[in-house]
Amino acid sequence: MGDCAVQNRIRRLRFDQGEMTQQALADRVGVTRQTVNAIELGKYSPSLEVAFRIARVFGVPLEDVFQFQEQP
Amino acid sequence: MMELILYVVSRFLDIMLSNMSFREKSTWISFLLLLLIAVPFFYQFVRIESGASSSQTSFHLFLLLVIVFVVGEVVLHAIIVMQSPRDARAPKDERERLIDLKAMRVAFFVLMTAAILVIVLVHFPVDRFAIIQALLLAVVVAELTMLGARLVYYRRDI
Repeated sequence: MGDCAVQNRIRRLRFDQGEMTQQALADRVGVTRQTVNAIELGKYSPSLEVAFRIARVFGVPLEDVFQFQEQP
Repeated sequence: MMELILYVVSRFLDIMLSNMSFREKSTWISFLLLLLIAVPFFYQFVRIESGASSSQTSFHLFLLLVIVFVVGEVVLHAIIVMQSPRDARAPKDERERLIDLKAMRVAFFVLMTAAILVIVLVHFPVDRFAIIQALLLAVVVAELTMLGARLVYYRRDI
């Protein structure tokens, strides 16, 4: 994870979905594979729309995918 | 030894290119082609100013470089479109649009600074040809800055 305040569990959720590839997730969300990678590494915080789309692909609430952590 | 270096370089390029999105490859093509034509063009201007060449030759060189740039853009983009036609057709996503905006902002400051320098240049005893070249240089440097900033943001994953 990067130094982003928004953490995520996308890698774990992809694993739980039978090792879904970043490309497969990107295709279903409507972004590039590089954008999924940047989100997964915590280098880029997605818009609310993309965040909801990712949660919908995994069939979980938004909070199960993204968590906000206060920076000290 | 030479074979080893070539192998390492080709493997490095394979890995780099496979990790790049279509738009990052496209930006690399535009950046390198613009650099390729800008260097000989402005070098020619320096030769004209020093009396080593004529403005007529410069015009012919300019036409040749524009043709090289257009043909290079078309051919190289056709190659990367054939490699990933789906990515080429897909609209830019939000991260790519953000990268464009951030790069544009960086280039804007460069262009403004260059424009002010050209305005200052007008007040010195230089001919009109040199001022036009300075303006052209300002535009080229701003464009290179925008493309370069995009490449940095793509690599940093912003």
